[in-house]
Amino acid sequence: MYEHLNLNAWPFQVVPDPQFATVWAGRPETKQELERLLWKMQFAPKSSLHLLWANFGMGKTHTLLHLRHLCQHTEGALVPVYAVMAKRARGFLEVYRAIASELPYRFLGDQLVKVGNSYSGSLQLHALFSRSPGVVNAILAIRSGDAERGTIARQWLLGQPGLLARHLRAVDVSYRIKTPEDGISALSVLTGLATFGSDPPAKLVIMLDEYQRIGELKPRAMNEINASLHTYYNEHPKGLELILSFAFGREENVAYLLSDELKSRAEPQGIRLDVLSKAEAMDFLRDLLEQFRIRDDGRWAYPFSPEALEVLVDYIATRKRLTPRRLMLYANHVLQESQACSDSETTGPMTKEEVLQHVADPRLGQIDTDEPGMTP
Amino acid sequence: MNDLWSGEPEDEEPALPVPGMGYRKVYVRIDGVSIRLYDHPPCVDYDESDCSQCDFFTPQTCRLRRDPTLVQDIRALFRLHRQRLAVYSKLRQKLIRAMHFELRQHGRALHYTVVARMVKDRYPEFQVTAKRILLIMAAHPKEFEKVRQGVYRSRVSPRS
Repeated sequence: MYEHLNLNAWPFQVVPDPQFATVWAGRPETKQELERLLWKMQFAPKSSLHLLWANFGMGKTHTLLHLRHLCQHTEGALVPVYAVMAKRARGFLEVYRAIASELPYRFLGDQLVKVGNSYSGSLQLHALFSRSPGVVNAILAIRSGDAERGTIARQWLLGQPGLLARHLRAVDVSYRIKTPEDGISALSVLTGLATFGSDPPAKLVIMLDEYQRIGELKPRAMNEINASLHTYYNEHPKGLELILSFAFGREENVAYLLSDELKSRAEPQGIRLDVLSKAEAMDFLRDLLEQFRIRDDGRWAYPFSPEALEVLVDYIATRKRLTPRRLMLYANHVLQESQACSDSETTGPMTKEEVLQHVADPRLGQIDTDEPGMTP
Repeated sequence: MNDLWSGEPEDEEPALPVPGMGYRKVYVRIDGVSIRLYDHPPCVDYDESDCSQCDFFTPQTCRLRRDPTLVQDIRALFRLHRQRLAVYSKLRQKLIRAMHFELRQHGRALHYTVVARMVKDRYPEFQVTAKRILLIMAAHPKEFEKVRQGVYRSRVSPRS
């Protein structure tokens, strides 16, 4: 709480923070797009594939985290899973691990009970688990509360190497997840389980961040991942929303990282986050500060003066591209410096002269350079 | 040069010069000796030269001395090849700029096969193969930074 700043929390976050994901500042069109996407995902039962492209530092991860936050408030209609693409994936198994490690196992355990209640025979024989029956025992082991069995079951589900035969016996599974096909089967079963028997029908929303990393992989790995995602997507005509996010300088390059099959299945309208204009930057800061306001005293820019924020935006815009991250970084620096210099009793807003004084440090932003080729 | 010429030996069958030409080398073989673009007798470059200093042929049996038109042909062949090299070099510079532009625009490291697909689509006039893209990137470390095997990014400093 920063009573003297009229802020209930520190508003400037440079690194995406899940707790900060509830906040949305600026970009009203993107907010509208997200809300529309959320509505579409709940409206039609069919599965869909969405692409999110963002320029550098434009808040792609924050957008996904915000979407996850919105999904979490749909009363179970959308089950969000946020995963980050492995840095040096050698195949689909790494992608599977990234997704499987973020699945809500407590919820899946509850779903398993639901399946058990609706089925009289052994759960492993249920049609839902025919492709990977070991998933049942693994989830039961996690649900059992036994730390050792739970850990082994998690390792098994994530397809991690190093499990011995006695480990498999402890969890009561007879095979390992070690090929892309095993991964697809297990993921299909887990997806089916996550969306089982809900009314209205639930959907699993898998958000795969940093998917542009696929562009650094060897063609064999790239093809395997794209083909496996395509197979997985095809196996779920209903109940699955797949969101792939890309961060690089040119939106058209998305086409070079996806297979034709995935491209043909992607929704025609993707979400894009590009460089902010000065007006958008001002709106962003206004929205951001508003969301942390303790009380409305009519001073929207406080602890800055409106002119000070304009000067700050102008200062950045003349040197670099305006990105949410950069705005936060500079505003954070200026506000912290100002607080360090003044006593806490001062209540006047920061003037533009103060801002210029704090940003005048030549070391400021020296290493924060635009990505190559992304000059305005 | 003619005063040193002793005539063609009667028992020797005159061999036709064999020219060869490619992107990287051009040569003419005369009496089993290869004359190359960057390694040839001085008389190919200059009308006046000291044949006694020649490392390629002995003045007494030198076919270049005997047949000045042969020298003219070799000069023409070399000139043509230099022109081809200049065109090729210009084209290669354009290709490097195109590759560089694509990587800079992308702003992240990419596998050479992806760069090749981009360049093929966007600059069909170069008719590049993935292997050529890789060789060029590997040969220009000042422009392309190798991140790991087969993966490169633009090394150009921002705002340049």
